[in-house]
Amino acid sequence: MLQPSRTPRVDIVVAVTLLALAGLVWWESRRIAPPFFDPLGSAAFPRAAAILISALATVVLIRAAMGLRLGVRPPTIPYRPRPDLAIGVVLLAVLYVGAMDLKVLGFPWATMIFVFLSGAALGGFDRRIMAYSAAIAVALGGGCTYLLRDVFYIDLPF
Amino acid sequence: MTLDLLDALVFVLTPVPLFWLLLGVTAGIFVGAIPGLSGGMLIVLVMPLTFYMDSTFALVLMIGIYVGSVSGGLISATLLRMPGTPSSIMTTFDGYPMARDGKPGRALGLGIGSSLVGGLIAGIFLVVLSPPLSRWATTFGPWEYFALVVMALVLIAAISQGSMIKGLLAGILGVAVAMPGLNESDGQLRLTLGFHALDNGFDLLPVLLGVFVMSQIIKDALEIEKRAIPLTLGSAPVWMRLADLRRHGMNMLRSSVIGTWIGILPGVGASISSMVAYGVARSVSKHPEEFGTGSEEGIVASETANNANVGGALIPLVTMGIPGSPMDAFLLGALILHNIQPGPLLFQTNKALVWAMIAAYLIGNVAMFLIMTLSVRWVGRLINVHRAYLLPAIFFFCVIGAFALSNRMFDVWVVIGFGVVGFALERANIPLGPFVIGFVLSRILEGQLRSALMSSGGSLDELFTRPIALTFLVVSLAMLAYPLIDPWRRRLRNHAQVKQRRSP
Amino acid sequence: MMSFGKTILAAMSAAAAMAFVAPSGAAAAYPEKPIRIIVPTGAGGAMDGIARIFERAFEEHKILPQRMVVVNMDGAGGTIGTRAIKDAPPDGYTIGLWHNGLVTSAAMGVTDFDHSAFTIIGSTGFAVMGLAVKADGPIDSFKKMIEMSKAQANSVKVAVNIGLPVHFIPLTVASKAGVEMRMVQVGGGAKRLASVLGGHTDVALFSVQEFLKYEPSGLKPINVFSKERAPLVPDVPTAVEMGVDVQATDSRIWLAPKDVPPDRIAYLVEAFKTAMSKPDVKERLEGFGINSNFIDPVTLTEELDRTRAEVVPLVAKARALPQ
Repeated sequence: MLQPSRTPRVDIVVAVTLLALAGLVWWESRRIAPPFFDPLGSAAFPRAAAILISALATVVLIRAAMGLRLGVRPPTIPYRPRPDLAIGVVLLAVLYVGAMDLKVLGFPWATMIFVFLSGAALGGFDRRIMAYSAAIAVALGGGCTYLLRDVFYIDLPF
Repeated sequence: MTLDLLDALVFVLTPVPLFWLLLGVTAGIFVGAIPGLSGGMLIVLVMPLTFYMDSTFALVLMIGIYVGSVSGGLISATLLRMPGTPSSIMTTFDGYPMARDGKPGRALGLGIGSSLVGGLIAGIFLVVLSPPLSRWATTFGPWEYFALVVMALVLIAAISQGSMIKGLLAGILGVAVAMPGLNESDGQLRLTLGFHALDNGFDLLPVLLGVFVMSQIIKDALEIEKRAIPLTLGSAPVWMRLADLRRHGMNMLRSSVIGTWIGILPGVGASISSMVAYGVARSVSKHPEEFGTGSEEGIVASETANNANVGGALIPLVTMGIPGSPMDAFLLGALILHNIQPGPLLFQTNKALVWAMIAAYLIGNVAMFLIMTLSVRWVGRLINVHRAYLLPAIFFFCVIGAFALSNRMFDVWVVIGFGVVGFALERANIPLGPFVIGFVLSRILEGQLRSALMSSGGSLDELFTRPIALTFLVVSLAMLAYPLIDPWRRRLRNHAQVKQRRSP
Repeated sequence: MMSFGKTILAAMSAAAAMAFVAPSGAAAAYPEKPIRIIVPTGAGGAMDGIARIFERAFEEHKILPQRMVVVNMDGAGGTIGTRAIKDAPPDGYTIGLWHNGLVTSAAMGVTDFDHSAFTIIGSTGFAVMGLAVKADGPIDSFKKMIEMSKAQANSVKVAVNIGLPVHFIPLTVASKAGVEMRMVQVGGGAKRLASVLGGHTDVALFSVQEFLKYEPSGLKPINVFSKERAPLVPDVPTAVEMGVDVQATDSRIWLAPKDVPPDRIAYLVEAFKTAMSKPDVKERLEGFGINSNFIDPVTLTEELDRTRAEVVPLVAKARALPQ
């Protein structure tokens, strides 16, 4: 019944992470107070979830290991993947939110910088795309901020 | 009932609701047509913008987006060979070949017409089935709800694409992610790791923004070079003739019923509906060999079923507060954000709202048909817009939306965190649909079981003595056991055939 | 059109006039920027509605020279918001609005602070609450409920939201009447309604406003917990009349962080009193089922102390019970 996984390497990483997560949930659930006001208590569900997750993650792990041994290859894709851009976008997002959380930059400025930089990077620093990105950055960081904060009264970050 | 429906139809046709509906449908068609954007994303993104809107208008807008986005996907499926939304995957197989062979107008026209027919037939089921179902559901107590949610989780895990193990894993992971924070059943904190920021756990909206929107941003960045040149529509007329209704009538009816039924099943989305309907259409077709090469029947089956699914999936949402598809999980979240308690009493306590939702769905389908027919030429040109313009803006709206929920930066960090989580899960082929459904249903699952146990003083007996609850449980067990039994049964059958051949 | 010089003159004389009227010292300028009201629920709830009534009143009647701005901080039974109020700088520019849950959250151990960790500004009224049953159900009166529980312990099921006043008030009733009633976690008001009407539980706590709203659906009030009968439901007896001495209200409590200068608090108290004297404010508050009388901090603190004294032993007792 066990069929080898089609994405063995990713599966192994995810399965091991999930096992660690299940362990953490189990560990933390020991601090939950014994049941009061109800018969079951708050620890039962997290523990059940931890057990089920570790069981299923183990199955995924075994199948992935079988896939590795059989040398299963992921299907080929007709374009060049850009992991650098994927990581870059996440990093820019972290910097964007971090700058506002630590109150280094205000919302309008942080937004303009983020939108322009990530747009430019995603567009391969093509000049035309950069020009448009700059326009979008100003529209969002300036115009949209005004619209949301002063017209719709939506609270914005710092 | 008829009066309520008429009132609601008239209400939705008044200028303000109609404006929101048309806006929703149009925006839905666009995000549906652009690969890498989806209706779910848009619904989650507009949710915070509707905080201060009238709740009925907000729901009308979101239903418009829902209907539009499921339909818009067929444009890119046909012209770009990329499904604009997952629900139009099956349309690519026949829509694109047909368009490539010089009949793009015909392919689009059939798709749009089928979408309307599927949507309306499901609408009839929605109108007729919902009131009695909701009356039936008022008899549900905690045991029934617990068993129903168990069934929903098993069902979505079993039917979701890929392996059942990973579907289950996704569902339970979703349940687990909803565990930290203040627990309703005994009013205690748990799994907060000592951080007060986690006292409320992970909120629905930031998690949805992360898993559905942020993860898609990461994925789109990774696949930024995945581009295709769209076929041009030229001046080909986009029309479906009335004669087509006769020619494809059976197929439409069958696919609508399949789509509606799969929609009603809790948690199963439109892509499954269209796959099943497509498969059935091929197996009963007189020309099964044409499927995949530009078969009209294929387009009709796929597009009828995915729109019918929308109507079907609204049924458990409005009658029981259980989402019929991942998109309905967002609508459920929107109801809760607007302080409306979903559940069987909705038909009594918020009658006007429920009927307005149903009316918005019906009128939304007609609006979708008109807007699609008139605008398909422009949308066809826009679908290839460079992602570099879209992705940063989308994240900007994520930040605003997550922060507006409760004025905490923590929620914005949750978006980024769950974006990475969602991306990793998808890479490992662990489906996000069951994850979100598990997350949304987790509170009901645990809360109802614990309420039931409090009510019975700790005894489990009632789970087995109450017929409805027991039925739900038996169905779930059967679905769990099926993949274990099936290969074994097949082997037995093969064995028998081999034996037969040996002894003629 | 006024000339530039005249404008400046006018502004200067206005400033001079204000300096004479306002108390001296640093507080003279208070408030010189908008005051944030933290509401520990999402936008659109009953609590949020009350805060927005005042946000609007302060602006429309020009009671404050600055705006008051509602900031919603939902989560963890309101404790995310109350913690933010407590930890805000004590300058009078951050205040908040909450209810008696402040005490019960502390009793349940969710927070490590209760009302004594705040400067209490006062209450802008309270909602009368009471128990209600299904109109054609087995229980038809408060007396019947107590009798049934006496005859057989735990035979009456109460739909509650554990750890909140809707849970502790019925618990106090049971404890004072010397009976056992079975508390079943159900959740918020709409869920309690569904549970009682569906016959899954027998009794639940609702506000008088909910009594009226859900009466057509088949809800029947059996008592109120106010000192005297509520004018909106004059036929419904109080718990005290029925021989069970439980009085409880659902107060709208305005809070500020500890150590806000007393003159700023006094300024705010005056502002609230002024706002509540306006007929349109009174009317809107009554729309939310609120008896709108300003309750001073001393009376309010006594009430909260009393609630604490009732609730803490109930939690301790539950923790000691083997489940």
